[in-house]
Amino acid sequence: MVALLGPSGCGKTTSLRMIAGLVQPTSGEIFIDGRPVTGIPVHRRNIGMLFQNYALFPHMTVAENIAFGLEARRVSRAETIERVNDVLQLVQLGGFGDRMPAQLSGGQQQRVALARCLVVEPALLLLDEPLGALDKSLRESMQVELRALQQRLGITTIIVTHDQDEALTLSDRVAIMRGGRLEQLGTPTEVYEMPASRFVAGFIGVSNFFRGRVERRDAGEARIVTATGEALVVEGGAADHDEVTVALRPEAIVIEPLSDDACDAANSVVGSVEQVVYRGFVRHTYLRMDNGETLIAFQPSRPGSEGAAVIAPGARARARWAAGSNRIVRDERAG
Amino acid sequence: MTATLADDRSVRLSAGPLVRRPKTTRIAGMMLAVPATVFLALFLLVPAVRLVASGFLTQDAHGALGGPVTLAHYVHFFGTALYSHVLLVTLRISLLTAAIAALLGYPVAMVMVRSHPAVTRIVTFITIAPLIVSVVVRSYGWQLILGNGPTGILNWVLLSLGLIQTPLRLLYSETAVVIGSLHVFLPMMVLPLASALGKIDPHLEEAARTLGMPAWRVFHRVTFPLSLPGLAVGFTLVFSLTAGSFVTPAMLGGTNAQMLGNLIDQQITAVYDWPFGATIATVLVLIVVGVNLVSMRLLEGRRRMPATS
Repeated sequence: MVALLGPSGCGKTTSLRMIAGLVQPTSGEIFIDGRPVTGIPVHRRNIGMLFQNYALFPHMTVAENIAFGLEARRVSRAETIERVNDVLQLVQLGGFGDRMPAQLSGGQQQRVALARCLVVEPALLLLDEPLGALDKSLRESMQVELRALQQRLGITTIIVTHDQDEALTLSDRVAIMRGGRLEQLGTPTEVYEMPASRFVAGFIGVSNFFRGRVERRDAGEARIVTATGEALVVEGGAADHDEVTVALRPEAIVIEPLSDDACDAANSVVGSVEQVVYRGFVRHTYLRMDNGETLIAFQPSRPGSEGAAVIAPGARARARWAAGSNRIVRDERAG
Repeated sequence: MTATLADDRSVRLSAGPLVRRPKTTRIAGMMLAVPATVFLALFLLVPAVRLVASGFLTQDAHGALGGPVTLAHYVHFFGTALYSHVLLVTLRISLLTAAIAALLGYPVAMVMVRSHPAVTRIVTFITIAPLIVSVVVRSYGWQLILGNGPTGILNWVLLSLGLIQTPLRLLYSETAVVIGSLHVFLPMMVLPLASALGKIDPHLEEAARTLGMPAWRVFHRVTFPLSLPGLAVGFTLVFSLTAGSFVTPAMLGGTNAQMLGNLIDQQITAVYDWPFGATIATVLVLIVVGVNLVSMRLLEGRRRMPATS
């Protein structure tokens, strides 16, 4: 399962519609199973597409909706009934065949729409923001269900979403798109922990960024100094040019009370705590660095040890992190 | 300030069963409907009742209506071959017009709904434009075009092109009336159809196509069934208006394609047989209502069928 992830208007739905054949690409070729399908009309591509609003036919029963693709393929009546019943069981809607779509809840309509795609045994399943219309708790349970079903059936699936949690939860690989272009393609772990660009680092999760010059390159690491004098050590260190951007995940940062030792160490900045936001299992600390910029740090709250680790807003504090947390990213803004 | 807030809330919640608008507001609301209701009651309901009643009364030698109450006019109407024939012609012309209007209307309505807004506006204008010109003027136009002699525009063109050897006889026929009626009433089909088609979610057709149906079968299985309410309205409008028309058959149908409307006109203005004119008018209205009920039932039934199967 591949997720197309990106902000609205980045071309992910258009890409999906091109794969489906609902819009023609102005250039380029589309392949399904190694077969070029660019010139093949929609109805002969053998795909299943799940629409955001489900697009169930309001004048047909659930069973007739599901049988639609079989009707299009001129499957015999007996086989149709059997396959419709099987797929209704699969999506846990056995006995709902005679209902009209309007009589079903959003989650049930979603399953009918899914069953309608699955019953034709498509070569490719396309999901366009499939869970966007559901409320949060239903969405999360449907995510798990959808993932289990897809793995059981083993259908290649492309899902379009603007919800990064959904993309990370559901898919084996995530394609992050921006302005009609692919920014990065990788496993959820790769795109989160090793973002290729500043955009990806900022779009998936939260990142702090430092811009600086490479001052020194050693074996296995590089020392980078920002314009305002902060020093960073980056593992791997393979930076081609001298001006680089470093991304840093907030959860990698440790905030501690100011002490005298190691005040000039790399990967460590001093500032005053501006705000501490309690978010349940995590505490967001906004640290105003001495260069004027703000650093965000996420620190796990540990119930029981309450109070001791919390630094009150206004106090001076030090943020430090391991060199391995720094990640040099491509930065379009740097030119 | 607080009063405004409270007012707002009462208006917004007025649909709910717990909150009622003040009684005076409700009465004031009903008062708004009074002028139109009185107008309709005085000038439609009363005359309609009198008209229906006239059909059962006897006319004396001076033309005054009175007793005894009789069914003679109805017996006369249904017993005379000429009248049954006119009735049949009326039905045939109206059904044919409505059916052809539907065939012509679908593509136009589709273009209207699916095109770029600018195209939609142009097509809508072209569709509605005929309504601006009076029926009489339009019928004169068709008389010139369909003229039976070699000087009729259509005949002249076809003869000049060598496509026909002798002039066609189109004017003063049922065909001419159907053509004229189509021209007048096509907008009544296109507009409800476009409205119904516009309400269909375009994703439905896309979903149908991704499920493997070629476009024409998608129309048959999805677009057409979902547009039936619009078709029902359009069909009813065109049928009723054609069945009740008078000018078009009078000018394009002549004596060959007389319709009930012309018959009524003759009875009232030429023969002065008001009871018989009233009888024909009543029959006409009943037929229009009857056909509409049947067509509605058929269309509605088709739409609801999947729910019961």
